This record gives sequence, structure tokens and C-alpha cells, in this order.
Amino acid sequence: MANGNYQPMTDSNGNVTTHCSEAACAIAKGTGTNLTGILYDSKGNNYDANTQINNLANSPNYHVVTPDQAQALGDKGVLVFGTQHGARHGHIASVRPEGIPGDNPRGRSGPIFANVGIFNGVAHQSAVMTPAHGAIIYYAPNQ
Amino acid sequence: MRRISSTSKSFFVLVTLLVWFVPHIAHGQNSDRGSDVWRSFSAAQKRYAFFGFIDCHKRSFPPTNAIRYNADDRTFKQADELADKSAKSMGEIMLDAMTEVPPADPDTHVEHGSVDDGMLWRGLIDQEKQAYVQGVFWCAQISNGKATIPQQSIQQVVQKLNDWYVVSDDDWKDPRSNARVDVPVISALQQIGVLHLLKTPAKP
Repeated sequence: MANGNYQPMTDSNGNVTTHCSEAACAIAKGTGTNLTGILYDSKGNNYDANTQINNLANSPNYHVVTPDQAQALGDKGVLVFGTQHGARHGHIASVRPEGIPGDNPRGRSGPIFANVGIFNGVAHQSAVMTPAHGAIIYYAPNQ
Repeated sequence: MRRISSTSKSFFVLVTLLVWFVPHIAHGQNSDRGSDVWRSFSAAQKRYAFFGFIDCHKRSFPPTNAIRYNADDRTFKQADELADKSAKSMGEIMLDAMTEVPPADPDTHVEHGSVDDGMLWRGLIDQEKQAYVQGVFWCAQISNGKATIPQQSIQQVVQKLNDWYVVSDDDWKDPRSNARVDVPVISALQQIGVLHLLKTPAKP
């Protein structure tokens, strides 16, 4: 979240570009989680968010959990992803443990994300995703 | 002679005051000295001020190759420098900054998409929302009437948008929340009567 390279920007047409898929890779690599073929290719280049989400859905090493389970696992330090497949682009964010000193999450309901997207910061699901845009699905690694 | 001189002096003072105050009155809050407001902004606020400016400018002016709407850290730094040395309005400074900064190399790692809508509005904190609206105001100031804003404070506008997007509905239970979330903020500003564009906006 604090990486300046992941801040939202615009291209020369004024369309905002965001970095959620790139950040998901960085978090996985930073936590020593090998997600080659799921979040990034063999060269370490990230897939786009929709591809990452499809790969998580099809991975034998990941399973779907409820929002409450996602937060509980996140609180234990397990790397869980909140995802939403999108018609134009998807969104992916890692679940962040609750109650970290200094955190003041945006929004009020749902699991807490370390969000990288149109804004970078700590936020509840409600400030990042809407059910109107499709299913919000959480993926946790098999134990 | 002395009487004429005194009258002339009074007239001169009156004209000076009118020249100074009338534009400020006409433009309300958005007439704050832009560069001072810009300098007071945090890095995040500068980013969202540019986003607001660009969203307004794209819809107010016909497309032209002369303008690159690239808003990134280099652009913000360029705007910082121009704001320090230029007497131009903040809107003109923002356009200059985007024009003067060379286009960035295409980034293949990013997500491209429209995020100028209700999800943007819900995600921003209050100061970032104010900056976005300020960017729209700066755009309106240089639009030669293509974009106009009735006199009102930025905080009033933020509150109107919060109400319109029903951001208090954190559980997305109000049907208006989902019905309006895909409406661009610029279109919402038009729908709530804050922004008037001469160009017919695209239907949300």
C-alpha cells in the first residue's frame, strides 16, 4: 500500500490506471508464498486481476471461504484474497488483520483489506467492492 | 483641482476594489487563490484534484491531441514548480503541467478501467473528496463558460454527493446505492445541479 509505484495514475487519455494485481504479487512474494502460475508467470510478471481471480478459482491449492472466515484467517496471518471479477477489470486485495495500531479503515462493513486500487489504504470491503458489480469471493490456501 | 483629484482617487479605489472582488464573488469558493490551495494539499489530495480536473475537462472540451491527461507523480511535481513561479490560475497550471511532462512509457502491469464513479466516491476520505471537487472547480474556472458552477462551498458539494451516492448506506441495502454506483462523479454533479456543462454529457 505504501509503495509509491502502486498509486493510481492516469494514462494520456485521462483513464485511471490502478495496480491491484501487481500489489497482490508483491504481497505474495513478500510473504514467501509461491503463487507462480496463479498471480504471476514464471518470470514474475503479474497477470491482470481477472486472470488472477480465475486462476485462484481453478487452483487445487485454494478454496472459497466466507467473509468471516476470511477475516479470521487473515487475523492469524494467513494470506487470503478478496476478489471480484469484473466485466472491464477485476479487483483483488489481500485481507488484513483487524486491530493493527494506526489503522483507520475506510468503510464500515466486511473484512478489512490492504487495498491497492483507486485509493491505497486500509479499508473494509464496503469501501472497495459493491455487490452490484458481481460476486465478492474470498480465497484461502488449503491448510 | 484638489476636489477633482480626490474624486479621481476615490474612483480609482472603487474600480480597483470592484476588479478585485467581483470575480471572487462570482466564483464563490472556487476563487480561492489556487496555487495557495494547491500547496496546502497533501500528495493524495493533489492526485485527486487532478482526477477531478481531468474528469471535468474531458467532458467540457472537445477531444484534442494537444492535451495529454497524464496525471502522475511527475505531473504533480511539475505543478508544484509552476504554482511557485506562475501567476496563472490553477487550472491553467494543471494543463501546463500535463503538457510539459513527457508521456510515460506504457505500463503493462496495470489495470485499466473506468473508476470515476460511485466506488471512487465511496472510497475517498473527506479531504480527498474536497480535493476532487476543487479540481472540478479549477476546471470550470478556465472553461470559458463551458462548465459553470453556482456559488457554493466545496464542503457543501461534498455533502450533496455523499447524500446522492448514499454513502451512509454501508451495507448496500438502499436500492439507490447500487443503482447509482456506476454513475460518474461528473454526471452526478450535473444531476444534483452543481455542475452545468454546455456539452451534453454521455448517459451514465
